[in-house]
Amino acid sequence: MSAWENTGNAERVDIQVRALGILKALVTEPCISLEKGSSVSQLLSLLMKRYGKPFQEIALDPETNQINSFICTLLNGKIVGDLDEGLKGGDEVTLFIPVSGG
Amino acid sequence: MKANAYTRKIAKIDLSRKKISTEDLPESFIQDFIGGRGMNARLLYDEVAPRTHPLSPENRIVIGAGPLSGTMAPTAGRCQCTTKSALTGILGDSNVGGHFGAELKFAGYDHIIISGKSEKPAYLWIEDEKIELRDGGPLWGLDTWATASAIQEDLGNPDIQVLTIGPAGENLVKYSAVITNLSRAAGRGGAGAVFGSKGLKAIAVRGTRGLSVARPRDFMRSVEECFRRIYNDPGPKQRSVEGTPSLVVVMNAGGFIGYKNMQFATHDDIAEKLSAEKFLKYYSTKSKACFNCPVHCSHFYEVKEGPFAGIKGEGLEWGGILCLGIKPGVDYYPAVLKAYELANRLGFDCCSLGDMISWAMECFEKGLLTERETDGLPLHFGNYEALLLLIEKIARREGFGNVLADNIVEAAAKIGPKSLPFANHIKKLTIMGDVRKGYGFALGEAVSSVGAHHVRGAVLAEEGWVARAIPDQVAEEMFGSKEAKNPHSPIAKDRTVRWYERITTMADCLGVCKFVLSPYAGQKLITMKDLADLLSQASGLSFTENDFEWATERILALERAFNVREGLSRKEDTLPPRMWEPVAGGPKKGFKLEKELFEQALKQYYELHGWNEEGIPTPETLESLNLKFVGEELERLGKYGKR
Repeated sequence: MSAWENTGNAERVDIQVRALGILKALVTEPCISLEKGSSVSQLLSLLMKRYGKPFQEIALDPETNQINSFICTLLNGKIVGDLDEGLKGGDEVTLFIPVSGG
Repeated sequence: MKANAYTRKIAKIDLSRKKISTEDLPESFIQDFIGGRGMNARLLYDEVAPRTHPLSPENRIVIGAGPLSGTMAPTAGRCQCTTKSALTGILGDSNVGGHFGAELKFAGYDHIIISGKSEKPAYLWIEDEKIELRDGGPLWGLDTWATASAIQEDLGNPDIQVLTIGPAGENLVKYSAVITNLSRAAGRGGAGAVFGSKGLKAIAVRGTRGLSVARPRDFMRSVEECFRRIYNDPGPKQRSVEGTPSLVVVMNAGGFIGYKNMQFATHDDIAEKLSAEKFLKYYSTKSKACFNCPVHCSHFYEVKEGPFAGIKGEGLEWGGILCLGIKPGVDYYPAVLKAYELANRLGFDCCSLGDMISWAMECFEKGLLTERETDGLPLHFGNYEALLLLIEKIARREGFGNVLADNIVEAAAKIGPKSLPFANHIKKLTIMGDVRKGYGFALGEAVSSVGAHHVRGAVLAEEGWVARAIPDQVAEEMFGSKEAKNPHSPIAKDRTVRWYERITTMADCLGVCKFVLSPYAGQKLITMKDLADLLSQASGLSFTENDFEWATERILALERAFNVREGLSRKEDTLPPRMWEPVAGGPKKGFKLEKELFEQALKQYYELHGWNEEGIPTPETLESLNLKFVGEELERLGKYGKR
């Protein structure tokens, strides 16, 4: 069972999603409802399903069909090292494409 | 016959004797120094004797286009400007985009070496085989934009590419830049002052000789593959829309916003007001690309209303927003754009300019300066009217502007020792962004051969937050330890820095932009192997990734030796006081670079490169790099002590 599919009776939590840069125009909802116990990875999968091809073209590695490992995520301001990290209600996930130089 | 990648020609201009000649590029230099930055380093080392005054006729300006510059390799239009720095007294080496490098190749030259001093202001005009010095008198005093237009008009061709100084360079401001295409700057290190000291206002070039590649079918196949990867990668997608202003919100999220002369790690309000989103919405008019670049990260902009209505320009990079907006606490975008316009037109390195003013603002707020010293300017953070007036005063070296026109150590000597703890520089070059991203980033900045620099070895993965991007096993294979991924550990940072030294040095040698190289290990953009293939196919010579690694070692050792000749030692491979303090806020709040651990990483870095404990390449290392003569010279100069 996918975490974002509404089972009708599973407890759900709201996650704040803050997308930066060009992702901001794609991720239009600031709050996403997820089944309790979902991970960062499951949140990203939901975003890919919800926002379709434009988001997938950026977030998905076309060669592996996995989440592009260069998409950066912060959980409550701390870098997420493991996408299996669990989420709880009220958490804020920041999402951006890494940039450097300048 | 058209040349394959390399034109193999150097134009030599002696301004004192008005003597112009061309020489063949020594064939043996090609494999050893590749081109661009590497070749410039060799030419400068050979031509400039130790202790030469940077502003004397004996100093040299070496301009070098890379072997890929002017070819169809993506982004291949970059050019390197190398000299003994007026700002730092050591190697001055800066890379510039735009179109100048490609045009120089089309005219038939890989390098230009300028020596001497012109009696009267002059500019250099290169049109294929014709090279002449022309009267620069009517141009002296003009800003960089007016100079370029005047030359193009005078010579009757708007396609002429112009590299020029502005009034700041004429007045020998030590961080003056040379500018091309409105805002592309060979900025860091004060090459503009060296031009000014020689009475050289500009170099104008137009080339029609073209450039060929040796194996066009293979080359184009590689080019197409590179383009495909650039178009598919999220990094260039991000850059193609927002450009480097996208760093504003990301750096704020990371705690490296640098607000108020790097006293504060985050500041949501200024990050929002100076965000890329605001820039694109209100000021950007269209995208702009350098030569043959699919990313087009730059923008044309216009301020349409308010007190600064009418400002039009090109560029606005993170460095400009950071140093002319965030560090001096200016959150009014049109004022930042005005400051940026002035910096480009007057011919400054906008980073050093903003850093000097931000530092002076902190001096003012701490009571080390009063309006009596600042010519009546209330230099509070955020006072953009004072900032704009001060920029013009610095360009003219007028009043307090004259104090800030020298390097930060010289200025601190006038303001007082209490200003030194927050004079954020390495080897007299001010730090652009906060280096407390991790040990690799800090180490890379500390050992850079030009002083503080974020793209000559600093570990960008620590800035770009990509800790999870490579598996532990890959990190162990590449860097000897999975701790290489941990910014807060000094372990394996010698190797991560070397990885970045290789890709950044080769980009500067070949004439391509670092923005399309894989800035993070494992990323699928353009790799060192791709670059070696492109150069082999373009030149008809054979280059491997291993050749590039050896060339990097050779170039770094030579640049290091140049600085050692000038008296540089291990004690300069360090950070300024503020960078040893804990991070003040954001996700890394409390993180502190420990001196002892940093020293440990530095020692390992020296060992990895085959340098002695003083950071001097050993005679054995130099000999293995085909630089035996360098070791012999350092020995003669007593740099190894008693052996």
